[in-house]
Amino acid sequence: MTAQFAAVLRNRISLIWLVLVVATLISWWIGAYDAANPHLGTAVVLIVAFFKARLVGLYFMELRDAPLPLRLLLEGYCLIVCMTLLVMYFTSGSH
Amino acid sequence: MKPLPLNTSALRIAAWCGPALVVLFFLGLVVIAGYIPPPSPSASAEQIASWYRENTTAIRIGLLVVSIGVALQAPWGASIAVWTRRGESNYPVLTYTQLICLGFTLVDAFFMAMVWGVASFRPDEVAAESTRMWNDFGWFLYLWTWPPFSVWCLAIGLGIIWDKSGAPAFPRWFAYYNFWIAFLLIPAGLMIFFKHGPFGFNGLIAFWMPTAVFFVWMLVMSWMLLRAVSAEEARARVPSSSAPMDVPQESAEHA
Amino acid sequence: MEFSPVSSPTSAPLTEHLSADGTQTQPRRTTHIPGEVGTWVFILGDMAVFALLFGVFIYYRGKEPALYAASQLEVHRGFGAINTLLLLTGSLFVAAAVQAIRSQIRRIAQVAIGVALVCGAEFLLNKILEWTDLVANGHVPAGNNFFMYFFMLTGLHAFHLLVGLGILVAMFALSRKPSLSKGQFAFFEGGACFWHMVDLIWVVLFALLYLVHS
Repeated sequence: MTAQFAAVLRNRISLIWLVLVVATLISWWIGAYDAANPHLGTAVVLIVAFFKARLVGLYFMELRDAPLPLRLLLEGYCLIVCMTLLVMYFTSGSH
Repeated sequence: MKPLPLNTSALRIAAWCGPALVVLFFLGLVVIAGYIPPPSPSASAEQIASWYRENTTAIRIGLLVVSIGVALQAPWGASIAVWTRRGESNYPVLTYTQLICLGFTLVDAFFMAMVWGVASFRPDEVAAESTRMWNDFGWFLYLWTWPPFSVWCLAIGLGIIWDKSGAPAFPRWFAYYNFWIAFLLIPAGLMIFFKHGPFGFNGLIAFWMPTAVFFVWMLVMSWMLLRAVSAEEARARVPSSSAPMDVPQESAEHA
Repeated sequence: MEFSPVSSPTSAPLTEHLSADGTQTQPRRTTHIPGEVGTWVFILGDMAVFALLFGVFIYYRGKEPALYAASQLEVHRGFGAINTLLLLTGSLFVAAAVQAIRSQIRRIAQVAIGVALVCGAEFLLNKILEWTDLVANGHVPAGNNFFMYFFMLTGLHAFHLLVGLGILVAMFALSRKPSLSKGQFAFFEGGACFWHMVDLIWVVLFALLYLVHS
């Protein structure tokens, strides 16, 4: 059974997982790092977060193979919410 | 015993009670009495009491309108349960669950209007703190009582998913819509913890979202009810084979 | 109705289309809605509500940036990061379970769901540890606005995770059946997508609550 298990895991899903883990670690590092330009750090962290969300949607939720309208809803969600949050963050009071 | 010929008049009237209720609630709570937008939970007792003193008549009339609207919930909810009953086997637990939740939520909404009515009865003669507490009570009856509403939606949704009639009254996606509504009402329960911000009883998440979602649900559900009635009438016109299984005859022992 | 295995969507099926005279036309990609249509009414709807919550958080954060930034320092990023890794791993195994069921290898599916259950349970355990630790240090939901959002958002998410664990248990029960009907398989896929949604929401929450600072 271990061989079967390995076979099931040895595909694109695992690669995506690896990408997601690395992205998480990078974000963690950026978040912990008190950079001279925190705004840039925030922007990167948010963009990476929605990039991760998009990967989860496309590959784990299998929306990559879904009818286009459904896939576009996910892509649209990631894009619009990310942009909105970034705009709100950068236009907020004195930060 | 032969099934009785189809008469959908009551079903149609019941379905239209939904939009009628929404209109009456809007007129009563928003336009006339002004309960929506809600006051701040952190308002002082004096502020609340003076609101009741200055708007007494409008508040009383608005609440009367609301209490009439509440009664319309009875036939409306009953007609939903009827469709669930049609698809359930001889053990119609989801139907009964809906009727019980319907009963509770109707009483709840009625008490909401009544409690606020009591607050408006003698605002000059009682202490401001008392008036504020009755005001708070009404908001608890509005928001804190979300669980039976969610269970109601869950029962409706499950009734659709597990419909055995062969010709379900509602499409399957509508079941998931009901599940979604059940989830969306949950934040209303957070109102007990906060007196400001989005989770207070005038907040975006605890008040506005559940309110908007609930009344839109009533309108969407009413539309689906009318669709179901029309579909049933169409089925009745076509002879024999496409008719759904007969609703099991209600014998004396059934509720 | 017996379910017949569908080829894995990671290599999306391309069906070659032969026209009437036998010449090949453009290969057509077949699409598939995971679960059923209604699943997405629910999932996208829930995601929309969380998007609203994200926006509310960022909005109010913008009014008190110093307070939020200072409060955020009291929160342990490590907890957040580890929890993110736990949910990502859970999602990997849930996705593997779906593929295993498609290929009718039930045992793998059961083990994979088991692993995901462990990941989810560990997440909740960490969450409780984290919350009690914060409260012990005097940070409560009613404390300041940052902590109000912190506890409320992670709380609402944790509720969804609990529901997700329940769904995983149901999926486990299904995976023990010799074969799944079309409806049962749709529930299996839809349940997996709910789990992935919980993961997706957390990925954003991790960034917003633990990492975004000014």
